[in-house]
Amino acid sequence: MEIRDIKIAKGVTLHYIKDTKYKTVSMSVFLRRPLEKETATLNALLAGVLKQGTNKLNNMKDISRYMSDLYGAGYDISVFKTGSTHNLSFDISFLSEKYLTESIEKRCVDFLFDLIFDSKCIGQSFDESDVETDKNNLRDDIDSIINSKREYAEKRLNEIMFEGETASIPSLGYKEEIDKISAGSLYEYYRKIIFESPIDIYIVGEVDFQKVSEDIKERLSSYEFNICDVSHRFEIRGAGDVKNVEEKMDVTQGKLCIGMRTNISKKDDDYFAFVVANSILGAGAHSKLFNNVREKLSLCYYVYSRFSSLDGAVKIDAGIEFDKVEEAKKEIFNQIECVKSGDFSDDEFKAAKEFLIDRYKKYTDSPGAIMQYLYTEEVTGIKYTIEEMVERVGKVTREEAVKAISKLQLDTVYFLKGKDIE
Amino acid sequence: MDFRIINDEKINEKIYFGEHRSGLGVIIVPKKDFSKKYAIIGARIGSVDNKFIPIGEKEPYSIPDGVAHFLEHKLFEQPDGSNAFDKFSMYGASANAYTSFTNTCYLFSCTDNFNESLDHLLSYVYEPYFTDENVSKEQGIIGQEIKMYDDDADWCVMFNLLKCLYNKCPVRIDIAGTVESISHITKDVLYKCYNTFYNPSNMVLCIAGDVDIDRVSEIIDKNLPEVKTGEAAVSLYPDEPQNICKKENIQNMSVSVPLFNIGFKDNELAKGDELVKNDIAADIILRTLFSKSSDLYYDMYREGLINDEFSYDSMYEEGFACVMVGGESRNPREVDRRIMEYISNKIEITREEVERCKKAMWGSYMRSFNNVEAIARIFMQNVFRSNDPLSFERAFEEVSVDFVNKKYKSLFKEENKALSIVNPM
Repeated sequence: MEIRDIKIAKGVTLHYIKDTKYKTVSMSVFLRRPLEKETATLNALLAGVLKQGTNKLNNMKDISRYMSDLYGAGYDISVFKTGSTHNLSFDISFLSEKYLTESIEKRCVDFLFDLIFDSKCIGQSFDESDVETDKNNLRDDIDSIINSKREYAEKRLNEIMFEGETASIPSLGYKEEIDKISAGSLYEYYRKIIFESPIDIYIVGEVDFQKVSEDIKERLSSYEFNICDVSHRFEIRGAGDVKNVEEKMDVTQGKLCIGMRTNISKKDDDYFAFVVANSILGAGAHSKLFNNVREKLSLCYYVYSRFSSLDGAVKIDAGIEFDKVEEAKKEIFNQIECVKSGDFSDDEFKAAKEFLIDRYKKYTDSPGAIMQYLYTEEVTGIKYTIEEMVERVGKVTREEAVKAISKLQLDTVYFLKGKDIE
Repeated sequence: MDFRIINDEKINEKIYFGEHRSGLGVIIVPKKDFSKKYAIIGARIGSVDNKFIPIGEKEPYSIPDGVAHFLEHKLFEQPDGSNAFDKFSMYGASANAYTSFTNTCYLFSCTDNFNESLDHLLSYVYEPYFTDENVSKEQGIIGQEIKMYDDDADWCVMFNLLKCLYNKCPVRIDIAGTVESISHITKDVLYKCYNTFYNPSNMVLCIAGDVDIDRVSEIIDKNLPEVKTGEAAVSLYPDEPQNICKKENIQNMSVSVPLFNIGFKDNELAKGDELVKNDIAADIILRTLFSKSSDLYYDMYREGLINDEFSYDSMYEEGFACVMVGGESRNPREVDRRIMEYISNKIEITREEVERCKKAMWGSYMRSFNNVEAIARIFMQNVFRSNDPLSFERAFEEVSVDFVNKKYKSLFKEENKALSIVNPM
């Protein structure tokens, strides 16, 4: 793997991750916006509407047939959060020409840029009926989080724990904002942001880089970019009084979600020490939560602790019997105390590190994972190579891990339980 | 052990395929530039194997629902009281296992310590340790797994459909069983199942990644018997009538809009290459009728009758076969009506449609070679189905426009159709 970055235009960077082992070329264009209450819904709706087509291929059926003819090339437009940024992602992946007798690369790249810069429009507006369809789809998407009780419980934890903070803003926006958007206003918003937003283009695989980069430069040369600074701002906040919330729904299994704060993020010196401590606590099948809450006490099937490097939050979740919630909480807090007091074996410490190192090394085997990893670094401005991360984790001492986890503060306990449960 | 080396130029991969003297099938796909190494060992035992002749016995033996899955959980138990995850964790490997209708598989992936991890995989899979105490402990954990699925609307809408399509075939039974059925599982039941199905002749090991083939051979020799210890297991399946069991099933759950699944039972069962061909033909038909390229999808999507969740799937196995279409809709019965109307007006799948689907399917087959897990799983499935890693590629060439249309004409009969709906509370 070999990485090259070049400036295409002001605020537009092309990152080429040359890797000959893949059968495909994966390409993503990330357009970066601040995560804000006022615009989250607009961005989410855009992801749907832009998928409806370009001025050349102006409906999903024609696009889908075009993609099939390009050996099942896949495209998608989506929206995702990285810390306090909200990103539109335009992706395409297609078979490498090494395995084909015809040339498809140029057609795929052109199509991707058509989706961004030549999106289907009627005058100064998107197609009204496209926008209406996607408004309904977005409403359904927002509502359907309830279909997965685990996701729903996590969403509720986010809303309660981060109330009033940027982290509470959902990537799909707000249902009540959808009606206020028109085909014209959405188009106007989009034409403004494409030229104001930092753009990062990633290519993973093997292409004729000279040619592709020149094609892209040429393609973008007629536009004037006036890029605003949009990067992730770390807003780390301590926990106040503990919030305890229980809600009822018609479910057969209870969902427990515990939110905690650390005041630690990727920019801090004790970041890797905390990552190791969290791994001991609950990152996988090697961890204390798995071995005690699940294996020893048989209280659950899944129990994990996840740490976010961007907002410093730790979230623990488990699916349990309604009447076992107190027992489960007690054991989870007990295990946290164990890690805090250094009560873990050398084997547990080693396994926790090996788990992380293995995960970092695997980034280079997936085009999607490598892009997400590099892009997060771009957004935060904090960069570690994979080798550096492996080294930093390897060097963490027991004392450093214990010291880091002492910063853990309980913030919110959320429990989703059955309708008839007291 | 000896391997046959297959040079597959179409996909630019080299495949090592052989049978160990113990009877274990082994496939190795070297992938030099990948950091990740992956190994998976699978046994031909799934949730449908609930009646069989135990090894060394003559009489049929019936077991409670959910045993194959329970066995999968219990194999992780080690004689010293630890679980098999612990050692993998020390090697930095991440391990897992799963049970499907027809197979149970144990796997791990790692970047370092591959040989040690492989040694551990083979040693724990071939050293069962079941006690009354560890069996009862697992009933709590699996009980929570079952309840998690009870709240999973997508899972429920699919199983409700299978319960409609099938009268007797155990594919209609939940893979993990029920809280009640697993309460009847004892260590003796587990040993009887294990001894019958976890015999190397009934199993396949598949490895993908940058591994040393000689070392892999040594590790297999060390952990497996020197001679065949038994024959492939004999499962007894009930005779499934041609007709479906029930026209429809409606359930209420906490969901936002109704979920639906419409299924068609395919009574033309096959084995080996013929089975693979049927599977491919069904995929071509489903793509043509229901993918985003189709007129039907486009019209229903524009009218708001379906959304992005609309999708299709198929299951082709020796003992059962069906296709299904599902998604979210405020009016599932109208979707059903439109599908039947569309099919009755569409006389055939055209040559152009078959070719377009085949191009896309070839692309997606190639794409799976980006990923060591996908490589190992594809080859394992091929070997389970027809004892040949390249059965998919061969069958793919052989599926003709006529073959597709023959399947198309027989697949969508009203009397073979069932509808499952999960409505909001």
